[in-house]
Amino acid sequence: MNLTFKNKEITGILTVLPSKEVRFEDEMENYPFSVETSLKLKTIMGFEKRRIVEDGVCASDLCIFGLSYLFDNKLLNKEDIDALILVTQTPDYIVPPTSNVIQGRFGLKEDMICMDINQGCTGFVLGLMQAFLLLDQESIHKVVLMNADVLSRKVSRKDRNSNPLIGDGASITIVERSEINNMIYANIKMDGKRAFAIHIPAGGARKPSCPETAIVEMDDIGNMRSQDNLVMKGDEVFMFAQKDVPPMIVSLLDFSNQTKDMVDYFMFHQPNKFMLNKLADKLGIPRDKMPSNVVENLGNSSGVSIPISMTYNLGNRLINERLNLCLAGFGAGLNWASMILEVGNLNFNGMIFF
Amino acid sequence: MDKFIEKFTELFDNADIKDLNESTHFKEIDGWCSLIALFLISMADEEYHVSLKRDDILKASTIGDIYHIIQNMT
Repeated sequence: MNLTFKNKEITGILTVLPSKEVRFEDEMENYPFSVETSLKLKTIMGFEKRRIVEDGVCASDLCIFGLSYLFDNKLLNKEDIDALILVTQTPDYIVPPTSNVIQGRFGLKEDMICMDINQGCTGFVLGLMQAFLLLDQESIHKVVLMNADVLSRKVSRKDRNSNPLIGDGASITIVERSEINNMIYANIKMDGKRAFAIHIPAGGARKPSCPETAIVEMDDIGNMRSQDNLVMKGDEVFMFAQKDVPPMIVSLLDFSNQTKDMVDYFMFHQPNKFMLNKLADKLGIPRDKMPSNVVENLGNSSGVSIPISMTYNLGNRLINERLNLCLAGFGAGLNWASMILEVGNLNFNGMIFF
Repeated sequence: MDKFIEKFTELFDNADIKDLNESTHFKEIDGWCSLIALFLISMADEEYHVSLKRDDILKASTIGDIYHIIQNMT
């Protein structure tokens, strides 16, 4: 589905990363594979170090830390927030929405909208779409889009499929109506037939968590996980990215009447280095125009990986200049979405550590 | 088939892996692991434009089995 948005823009991005860093080598003994195999995996996938929260830290803790920083440094006024969106797969509670918890924590005004959205790796692009839609309302001038996930708490430490790449983090993106006329092009697709390619079997109403769902079992290649843990069908997810993402980008370029050369950077969600490099090659995009260094330095934090890449790789550049970016998110759902927009002259674009 | 065996050999990126043939039991090759299986899926996509599944690889024994699965998909 093609979408367009007029006269909207991002005016600031702050990302919050956990201080705790774990290295792949230190966890290799958790996995029932030879050192040689694991080291090969490290090189190909870009497993090096990643950031995860300490036990008990929730998505809202990272968001509250980031918002406090913005308020304290006068980068954001509490009264100006007309909508607070939180995109997460790891909410603090099933009831109430975590965005309300955050609203209450800061005593924000009642005359606003709080909204939790359950989305994974597509979450930043989809969150921007929702923010743009809200800004079509006259009463809404400023939307605070938060993406936050603490998926490390849902991944088995002994699952080499997911554990070496998973990271935690949060981002706070300020979205407003633009003073200059612009047009943002986007597209999105969803396929619920592949809903269980990325999945946490227990913990919802269908299968509530209980002592049985916490029992750790070995899968057919030696990974250990329970039904409370995230499980990913690696082959399906890999083929999904290779088959469905390139046509989406080609179609978006066509829809926006732009060529690959007109895009300064392709800021894609970063599942792992291998998948991203294959995508760049398939699309004929030079690898230096598609950053792939987030997983090896900070981990894959699902919907937060695009804003992390924007602060990590384009920090001051997005403050001092304007760049034409193509964003793409793809993951749980399975959902995939992309967007071409100019981003720049931001009021802030940085990282802080929790 | 020869081209496929050559591509299959390249997956291992190891000069000691040679003289593979149609009846080689690929899971017994030194260095075979889930990462090589992923490379195989990727190679099947790039070279033959087919989506090889994890189950296809689990069920197959020889390089010839994989070759025939791919041939049947194209």
